Amino acid sequence: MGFDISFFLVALREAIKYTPVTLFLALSALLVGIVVGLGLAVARVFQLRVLATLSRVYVVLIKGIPLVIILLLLYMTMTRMFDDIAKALHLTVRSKDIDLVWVAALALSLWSIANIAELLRGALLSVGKGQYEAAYSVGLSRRQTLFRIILPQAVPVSLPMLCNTLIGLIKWSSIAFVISCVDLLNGALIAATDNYRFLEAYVAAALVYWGLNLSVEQMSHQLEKRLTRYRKEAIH
Amino acid sequence: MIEIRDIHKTFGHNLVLKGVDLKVDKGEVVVIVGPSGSGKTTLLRCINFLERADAGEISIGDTHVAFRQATARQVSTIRKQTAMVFQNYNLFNNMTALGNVMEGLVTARKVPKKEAEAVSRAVLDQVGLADKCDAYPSQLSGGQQQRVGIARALALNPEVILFDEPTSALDPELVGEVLSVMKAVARKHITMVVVTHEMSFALEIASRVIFMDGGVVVEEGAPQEIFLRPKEERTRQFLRRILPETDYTI
Ligand SMILES: Nc1ncnc2c1ncn2[C@@H]1O[C@H](COP(=O)(O)OP(=O)(O)O)[C@@H](O)[C@H]1O
Ligand SMILES: [Mg+2]
Repeated sequence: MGFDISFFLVALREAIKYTPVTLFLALSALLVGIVVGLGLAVARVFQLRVLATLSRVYVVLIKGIPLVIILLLLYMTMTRMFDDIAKALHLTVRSKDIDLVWVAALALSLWSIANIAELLRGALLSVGKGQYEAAYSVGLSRRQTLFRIILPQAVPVSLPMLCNTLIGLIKWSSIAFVISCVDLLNGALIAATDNYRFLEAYVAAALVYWGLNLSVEQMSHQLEKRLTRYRKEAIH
Repeated sequence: MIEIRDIHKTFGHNLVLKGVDLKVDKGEVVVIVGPSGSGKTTLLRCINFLERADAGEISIGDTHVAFRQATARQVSTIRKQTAMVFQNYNLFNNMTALGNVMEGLVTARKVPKKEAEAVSRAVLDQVGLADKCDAYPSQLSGGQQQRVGIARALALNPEVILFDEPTSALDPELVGEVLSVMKAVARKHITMVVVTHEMSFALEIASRVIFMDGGVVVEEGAPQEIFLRPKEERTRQFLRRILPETDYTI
């Protein structure tokens, strides 16, 4: 059984068709990760008592568990809870009716929050203490210092790492297939269920993932160039 | 006028300020000297609330505040009346020279942008950097960065500007340009508290010199008195170390 080019193209088309699902998974997790992760990172760096502890515990907890397990745990508890609640309310909807893409997005978000909180914390710490002190000395509040002085310096530092996180999320989103959520990978695989040409399906999916990640990398280079203007000029 | 009474500060078990009093009249230039670790930086940082003193009071203009009990609002009021020039310049790396000088005016004081820009360009001109408005700190020499630092403090038009060893991070050939800017500032009768070991500056400009050691003020007086006729043995020892060639016994 050789490599069936025409089926490969069919699988490729299916993979591309479900690419928006993969992008949705990765980008929503990235967005949630940045918003919540930034909050956790700021809590740590500014030593906001309760939140800082919460942030530390959360990061340790999530980083120690494989993503697959987070996803499956979430899947089981969410579906069970949903069914219990629906039954109690005498509703006819059941967990099999909910779009599993939300479960996968949530699992990926939980994971990306922890990762992004850590990398943003590192980026925030890369900005020297003197920058805070100068800001306070000219009368800026803590919030103003964060948004006017610290973040504009920390964000360019974190950009290559955020790009890596996005690439990681695009790849990790493929585990959505363990809960039968139809994404890029699963789309290609479903096309192969009739003829068992999984090899072609996997190669097609790999190609699309690779293309996606390549373009992410390109975009991040462009963005980084623009955001680090003030450092670049020093070199030339 | 600025007056500090009985300021105390401890880091862990390290008593750094053990009851310092400091009174600076309007337009005075007070130079603080003393060995490394004597608490000079800590004193300035406490005045600007970058460090919270354990005890003591401060009065600047009409504001009277106990360091320990100061509320956020009082801290902000004191900060508005003081400005700091740092040893390592601490310019905002993400902003141009002009942006650095404007930041306190626009963001903290809500001065309209146009007005703030005019003020900022004027002070940058005053420190001889009118042509460097659009340069980022990384494109400036240490001396130029420190002059921007001084411009940033001047723009805020504070009651007092605190200088913490403003020339000690500079290459020797760049010290002169910063000192001459500081002298020009002093001549405008702007109140200054300057920690420095630049004797030429102290002798020429200071209204008063304060010698600190071990967290207390050991001796203070006119620059000639402190440098040429010190009364305290600790002052003599210190001067012998930094001015080996001076024979102050005549
Ligand atoms: N943030 C800090 N934490 C702990 N100790 C400090 C801190 N800042 C200063 N010190 C200590 O306070 C003492 C005085 O320091 P400093 O005020 O910098 O002296 P000076 O500026 O006269 O050299 C030193 O022993 C120093 O180690
Ligand atoms: Mg010092």
